[in-house]
Amino acid sequence: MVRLVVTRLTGAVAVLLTVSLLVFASGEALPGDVAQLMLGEGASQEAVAQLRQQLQLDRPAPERYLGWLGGMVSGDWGVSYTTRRPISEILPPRLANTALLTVLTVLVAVPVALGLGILMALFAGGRFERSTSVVLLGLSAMPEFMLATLAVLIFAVKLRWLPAISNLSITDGPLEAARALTLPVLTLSLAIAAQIARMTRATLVNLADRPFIEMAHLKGASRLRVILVHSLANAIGPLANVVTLNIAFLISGVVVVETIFAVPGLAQLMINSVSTRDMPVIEACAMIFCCVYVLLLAAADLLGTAFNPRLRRSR
Amino acid sequence: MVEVKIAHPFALPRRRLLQAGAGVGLATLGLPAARAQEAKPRRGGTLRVAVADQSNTDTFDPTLARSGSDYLRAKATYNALTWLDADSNAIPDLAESFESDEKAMRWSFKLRKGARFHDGSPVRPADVVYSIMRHKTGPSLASSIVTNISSVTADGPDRVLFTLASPEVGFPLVMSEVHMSIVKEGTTDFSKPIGTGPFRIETFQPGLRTAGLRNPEYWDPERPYVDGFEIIPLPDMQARVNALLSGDVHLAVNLRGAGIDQVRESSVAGLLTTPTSGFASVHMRVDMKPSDSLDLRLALAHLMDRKRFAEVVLRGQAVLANDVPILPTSPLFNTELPQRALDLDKAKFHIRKSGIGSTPIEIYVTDAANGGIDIGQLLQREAARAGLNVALKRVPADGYWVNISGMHPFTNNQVTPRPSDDMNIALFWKSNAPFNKCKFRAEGFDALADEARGSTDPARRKELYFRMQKLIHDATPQVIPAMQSYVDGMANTVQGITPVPVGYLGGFNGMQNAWLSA
Repeated sequence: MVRLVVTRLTGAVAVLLTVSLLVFASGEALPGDVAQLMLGEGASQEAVAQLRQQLQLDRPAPERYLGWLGGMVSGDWGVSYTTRRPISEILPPRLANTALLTVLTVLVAVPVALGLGILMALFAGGRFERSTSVVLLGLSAMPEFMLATLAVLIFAVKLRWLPAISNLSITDGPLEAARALTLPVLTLSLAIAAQIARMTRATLVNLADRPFIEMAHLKGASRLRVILVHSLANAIGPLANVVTLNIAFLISGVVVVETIFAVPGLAQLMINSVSTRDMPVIEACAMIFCCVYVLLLAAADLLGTAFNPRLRRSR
Repeated sequence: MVEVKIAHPFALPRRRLLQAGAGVGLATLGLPAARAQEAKPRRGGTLRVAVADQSNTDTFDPTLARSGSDYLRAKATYNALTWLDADSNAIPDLAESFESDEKAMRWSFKLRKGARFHDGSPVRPADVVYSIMRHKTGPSLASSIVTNISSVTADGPDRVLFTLASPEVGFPLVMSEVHMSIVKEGTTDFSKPIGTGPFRIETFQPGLRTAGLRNPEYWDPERPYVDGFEIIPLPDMQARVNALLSGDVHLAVNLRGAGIDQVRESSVAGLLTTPTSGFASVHMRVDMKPSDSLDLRLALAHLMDRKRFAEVVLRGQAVLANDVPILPTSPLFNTELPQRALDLDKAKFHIRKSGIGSTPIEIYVTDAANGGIDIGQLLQREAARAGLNVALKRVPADGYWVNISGMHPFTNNQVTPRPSDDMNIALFWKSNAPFNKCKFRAEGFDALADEARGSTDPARRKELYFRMQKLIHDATPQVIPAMQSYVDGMANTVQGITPVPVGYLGGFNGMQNAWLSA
């Protein structure tokens, strides 16, 4: 177990390094640098050169990368090229918004999805299972921007129950915040719950004709008990993977929802920074996304191992 | 309202923008008569505005103002020396009067008595000198606008004197520009801006939110009427429309296509349309193959289905243009030039004459220009019928203006409106103009432009402008299908904003005139 954790951590560091290098290289490959974009098309060559020097962009690329890396390791995330504000100041409020959205979505979507998946496995082949399947398939095929737009049209524009935007900083009080967050959380929950429920059902149903399940039935265990105790314990590995992947998606991939509801999150910050070529911010965002992925995947693996006696003993 | 006195010797050209004919008259302004007539402004409320651009580079530094929301922010916080009325005449703002010598070479601005910065300090000539000189000394997006200023100096306790390099009758119009906003001498940090304007900034989070409260010490005791404002970026147009229709914001700027239809049909909001001299076009480099062929350029000009572009793509919120950069409703517009329209016969004639044959020509199109891709598609469609092979290269808006625009024979272009035609000619059309990306050159054009800029005689100015337009029309370095209006969505409760043809929401200045009816 200890060896597993150590290997995973070493791997994680290697992945982070590779990603940071790739992100830096792609930033270099983008046409036009931050100085040129900041001063616009009418800027004189001297002015651009002056700004480049101020931002130390005139140093060779490897030197800049190593400088950034050194700072990052020692806890100095650097300063944004465009706003000249320290990144340690820019990131936290954005990260907090994204995290809030993610945590709420997970709290809503995961229990609902798992419960639904279990119910579907319990009544596999029945009318309930088939109709739910169709609905879930439809939902998981529908892009979030469409879900979001429909939700806004119905609940904000037509019924006027909820606000159409969730610019968290303008809301005051927990009640207002809850109202503002309802639509984005609903949209995201629909998007990920459909997938998780379908996977849960599929995993549990696949296990149904395995010998140990048959054995449980022969011993006289009830259907519910077989699913909840015997199947579910064996499904935790794959399910943990699905759930964590969906959480990782929420952290990094909710741009569409952030855009439609104007939630000032991390993904939006990264996209803005790419368009202004603000490398330190891009790198910082990329590192956070990458860390989240690596940690979540590691957690999924460890969970899977912990719940699987065969894997556990072989280590 | 403050009594407005214009104390300079020449009548500036009046642009009767709002008397436009053909579909772009008062009917499309979205201001129902009853609404426009409500007499007494009501105080109170917080005005919420959804803007289209969102960037971490949002700024309060007037030298770096780039996006529409930067302009809106600047107009809320600062004053410039002058401002514009609905007909694009310069009117006093932070300067209570202005005048020039007979040659329009030396301009004197008298500062408004009692105007104070938000920190209580009075406005002095040194502040004006500092604000203008920043464009000359530091990095500035407006450095090309101040090139005609050779010096700016204090002249006594309340006057500022500008000496110009060449005569410019419309100089007060230049001083109305957002970049020319007056900041306090010595300011270098603009994160907590101090201006003389109608609002004091309470919150500024770049890319997220800007909020301000009414400045109770504002030199105009009447305005602003609202207690405060809030600017929220909503880059997705549908999100802006939804926020407007659900009542979450009062104003949603930059509507296009289906968004215009939705607001027009709504019972809770209407359109605020501002006809302007801004446009999207196709740049054609006269010094590159194959766009150096005049016949090829004329062929494209006759392949442009201007009407369809204005009516279908722009939803009628436009005025048909004739490949010259002057608004057709302006008195300076050359009415003697034949209006170009879709004409396959003429196009075929020019295609044959150009000898291009079946060689494809590439047009770079982008979303960065409003309707840019549609212009390309309309051209491609008609070109196919006339036997010209047009290939479209669709490129992302990101980095377009620095990396693509004007770098290839045919590229999309977008020109945002400016307060004076003289400024436009100097920035885009003279042979040494910084944004003359087509490399347009015509014998005598620069001399005409210089004379027009310094001419105090309206008839002479008109004649010079007619001749400049003839030269542009003959050379056709750009296909300009239509002059585009700014179209904003405005809740029915918002009153008091009148269009000013340099920008959206009353020339970016609507927040200080707006009030909310019950």
